[in-house]
Amino acid sequence: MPLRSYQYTVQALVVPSSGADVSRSASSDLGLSQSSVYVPFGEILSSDLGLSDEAFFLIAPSGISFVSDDLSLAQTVEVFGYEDLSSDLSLSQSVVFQGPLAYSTQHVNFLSDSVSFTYGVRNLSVEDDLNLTQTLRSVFPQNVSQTLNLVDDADRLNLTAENTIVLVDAVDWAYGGDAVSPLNLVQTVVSNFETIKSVTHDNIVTQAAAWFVESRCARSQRTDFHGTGGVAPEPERLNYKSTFLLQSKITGEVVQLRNPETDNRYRHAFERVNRRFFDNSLDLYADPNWVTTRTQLYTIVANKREDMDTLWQFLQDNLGMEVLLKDWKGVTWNVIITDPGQLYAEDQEGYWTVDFEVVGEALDGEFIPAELSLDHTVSRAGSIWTRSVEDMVVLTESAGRNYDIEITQDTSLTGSAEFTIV
Amino acid sequence: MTVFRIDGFETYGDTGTSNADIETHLDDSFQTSHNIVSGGLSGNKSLVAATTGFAIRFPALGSAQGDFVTYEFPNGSYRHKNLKVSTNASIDDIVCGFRVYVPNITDNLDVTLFQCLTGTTTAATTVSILAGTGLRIRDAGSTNHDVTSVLTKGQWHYIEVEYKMAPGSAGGYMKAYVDGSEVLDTGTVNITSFTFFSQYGCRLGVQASGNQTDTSEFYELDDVYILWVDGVNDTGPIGPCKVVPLVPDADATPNDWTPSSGSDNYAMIDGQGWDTATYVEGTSGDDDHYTTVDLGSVDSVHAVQFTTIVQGQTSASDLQLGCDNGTADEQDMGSVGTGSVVSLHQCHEVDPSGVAWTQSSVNSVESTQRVV
Repeated sequence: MPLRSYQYTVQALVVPSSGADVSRSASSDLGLSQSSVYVPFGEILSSDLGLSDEAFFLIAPSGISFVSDDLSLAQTVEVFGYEDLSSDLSLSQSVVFQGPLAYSTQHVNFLSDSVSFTYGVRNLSVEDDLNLTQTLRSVFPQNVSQTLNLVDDADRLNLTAENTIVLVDAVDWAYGGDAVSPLNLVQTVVSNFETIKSVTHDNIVTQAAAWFVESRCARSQRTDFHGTGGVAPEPERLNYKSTFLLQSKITGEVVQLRNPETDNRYRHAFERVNRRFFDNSLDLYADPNWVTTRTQLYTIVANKREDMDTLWQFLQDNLGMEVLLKDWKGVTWNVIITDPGQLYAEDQEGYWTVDFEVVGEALDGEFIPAELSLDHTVSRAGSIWTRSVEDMVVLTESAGRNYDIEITQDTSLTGSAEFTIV
Repeated sequence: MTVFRIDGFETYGDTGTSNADIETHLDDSFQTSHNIVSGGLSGNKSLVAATTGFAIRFPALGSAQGDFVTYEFPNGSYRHKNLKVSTNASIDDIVCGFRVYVPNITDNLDVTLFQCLTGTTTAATTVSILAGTGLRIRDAGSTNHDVTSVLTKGQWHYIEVEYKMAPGSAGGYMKAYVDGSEVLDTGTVNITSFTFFSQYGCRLGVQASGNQTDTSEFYELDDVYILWVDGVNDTGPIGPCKVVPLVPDADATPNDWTPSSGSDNYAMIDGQGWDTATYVEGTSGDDDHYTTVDLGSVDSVHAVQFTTIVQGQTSASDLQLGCDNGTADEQDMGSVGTGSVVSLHQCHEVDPSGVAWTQSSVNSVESTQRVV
């Protein structure tokens, strides 16, 4: 009674329509997802997407009319605090017709490439290269048209917006004929800081840019100098960021705090040799080339307990290790936590104060450190009863940032001491 | 139904090598070894991937050699279950259409493509390629009817052969068409020029006037149909056609048969090749429905053929084969015995509602097989 079936097939006897593909429907769907994980600051993230999409159709000898191979590709790169970001999108798509007769062929290629930055500590350079090669060949074409629609949108935070599009559009066919290759290109560059006032292109691109120049009148002109004579101090321009972050370079954990007390407190430590002689004279020696350690001291007040716990845990976990610190002026530092804080004080109920110390240096281009020069000259001249000691410290500090107007602040400090015997 | 056989050769396995010939029979017998020998001038045909899908490739060999694809009527009867006719005498006008690739070789051979059989291997009237690019009908009286320069080397052509018998009197004729255009007509001739179309059918192959010396290309065969000109549904050749395979791609409802492994019945029977280790098994009352891959855009659908390769196990079983679009259209294929594997075909020119097939109705219909 049992009956076994080993194969079951269905065949359709069809009459092809003129220009219709009588094969089974063929589709070539390419799903591609690429995501980049966290990469520590200062390293390079690259997201190169290579794509090959082929569609193969059974061709009826009676002719072909329409073969479609739609390729949709979107590439998104989201970064946090990268120095160098590249988003290269390369696409190669070819449609080849082969048959005794060929009807009008169309090859529509839609390509969209966008690079967006959700959060950037700083971006020095962003490249968005879009390379597109589209080839259309037909063995026996009667009419070949190739339409390329390209939208390239670049939105960056840095000053220089460079948007290079390399496009090669070639249409080849066996017989000569009119070549129609319309190219529609929309290119938009938006920058919040500075951009070229006007851009013109000889062919088909006209670029208009809008920029915003912060009015100097918006800055504080307050002068703190009072009295007469002397030189008024340079007005200190307020440049205050609303974020204060610590970030682990190993786990990527980010701790965001309220801004610390708004004074830059440093502790400079350097070697100095004291030598007292039998005549009770004092010689001081120091070498400007010796290492000068500069420790940054931070005090953060009025923190909530849960924020304190988070910060405490972070300092504990990363004590002695390199972390990233973005200070209240928006400068990013590479630092080592040297002191997580000896005492956390609850100033009033629910409000905690914490002190911690770090040692480090700013990332290149972020901050020009103050060069502290110690030049000690000690002379023993004149009577043994009189000694002059000159201790000159020259401090030059300048702050520059790629988007700030450079300001310099010179500070001279001269001190002298004399010994007299009364 | 008047189209009673279509064959696109898509379901005969892959293009690998094996050791047996393949023959397709209208009388439902089937060889258990179904793979095709990879040939050349060894004398065997082979399955190749052509621009039209899979095709049968033949080397052109001298008359003493050569293999064929044979389409036979059941012994002793013209009646075939696919035709649903009850009288024998009505079937006297047959059209066989097939697609042939004429190789671009230096030889200009006479190559017999189509033979009307009067016995297992006895050919009566034949249709041949003449001197590489012409066409010849040779009737049973050995009279040649020729036309030149109707074929082009290096191209596919669709050839249709219509042959009408008129037993006992004149009135028979034979016509040949190339790519939809009539190129040869023997005219009405005395029946004595034709051998009565007996219990055997026809065969397609390549039997040449000599071996081809240029072996850069070979003859290829594809997209075969055979129909009966009943004067109602079909009045003559239907023109160049293509046979599109639609393999099962999902189980429908009901789904009673038991798969040899897994839980998907269609997956056991959807391959181009088959073996006796992978199957679905049904007992009395079991009904299986399948959906198939979709048919692309076409101008018209002339027929849909449902084919199952089956074998009885412990005893003979009756099988119903067909399709269902809410209305079932199944044909009793008779008793399937044990021991031999058979190939059963059911060809439908209209859908179960009696309406001409469309692309949409082909894609929505369910293929069925049911053990009675």
